[in-house]
Amino acid sequence: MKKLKINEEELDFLKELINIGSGNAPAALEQLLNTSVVMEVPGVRIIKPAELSSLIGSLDKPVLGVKMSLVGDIKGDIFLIADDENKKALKDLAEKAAPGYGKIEPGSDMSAFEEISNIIVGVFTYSIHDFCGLNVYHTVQDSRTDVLMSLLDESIAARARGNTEFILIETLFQVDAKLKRNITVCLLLILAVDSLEVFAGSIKKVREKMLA
Amino acid sequence: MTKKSKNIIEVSMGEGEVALHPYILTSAGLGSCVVAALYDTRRRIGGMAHIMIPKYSGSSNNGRYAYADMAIKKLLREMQCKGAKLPDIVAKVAGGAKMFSYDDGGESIGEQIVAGVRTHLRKKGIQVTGVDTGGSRGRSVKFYLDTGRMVVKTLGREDKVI
Repeated sequence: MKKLKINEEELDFLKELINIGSGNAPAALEQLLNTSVVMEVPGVRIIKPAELSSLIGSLDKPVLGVKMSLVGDIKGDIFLIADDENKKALKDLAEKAAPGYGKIEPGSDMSAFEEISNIIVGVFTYSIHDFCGLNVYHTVQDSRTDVLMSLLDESIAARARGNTEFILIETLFQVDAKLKRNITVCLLLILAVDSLEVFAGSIKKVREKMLA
Repeated sequence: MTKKSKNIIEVSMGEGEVALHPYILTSAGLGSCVVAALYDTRRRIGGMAHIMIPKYSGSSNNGRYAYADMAIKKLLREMQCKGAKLPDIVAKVAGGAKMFSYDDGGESIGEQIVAGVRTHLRKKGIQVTGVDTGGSRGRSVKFYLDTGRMVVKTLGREDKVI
């Protein structure tokens, strides 16, 4: 089975690309949530499902998952995952910005979360698009709240053909300058098997070019 | 990795396990994945596979339990090694949800796995005595080898015993 061949330095480089690419995202989030926002990607790494519990707590507990598919030069799915605590923090901010905006009950409007996901996933796709020269876009959002692995397993089977390694992009926001409240969400990237080489190759190429 | 604590054995994605009464086999976070559980009603020997892919495609790092077309055969063989007899074995199947929309048309991965599992059970002449499949919610299961009952937990729904 094909695996993603990308080393620590290249992952660190990807992290820097995303941090640079985050550009206007905090401003968009500030406008959306009506509060100050500082955004940072503290880590990008390859992770296995069992290791996810260290990030989101018990794997038995429901989490919010917003799925978008990647189309273009690389294919796969990207999930924004927020545990209960961080989901609640985002919900409260969205509600404060516009009453009713943070509703998350099944079947209700999840637009605040979907817009937040759109901005954050946008940072990733724009970074890859602009810096690595890959023609990549994401589809519209699809949201569910459920146990983490149940949200991911179809993508693991359909896209990664059983390869259970993901690229984890931790995203940290510091919202509200006075309170300095931290909100952490995770982006999990599950690449299609056919896209592994393209993705890793483009990161290598652009890194070598910049180091030269 | 399959974790063992007290009498509980966790069967992770792509894995399978066979045990005897009084063990409980569990799997958490089933979306499109399917658990196929076999139980020898006389000897109280049970096995469960956490299947993630409908068909083996030739090259993979996953074990045989990951594939619907191989898992039943392997589970049955492992159970028979522990003394189970085919005429006394029944099956339970859970999982196979469609959590998100994928624009690939046709049957979902979950539906394909469920269909594959049922085909292979039929081929072996194993009766299915409990099913909880489909829908759009994740599931967690506990398979009790004292009685062969399976308790299915689904978010926002009462536990279902199959």
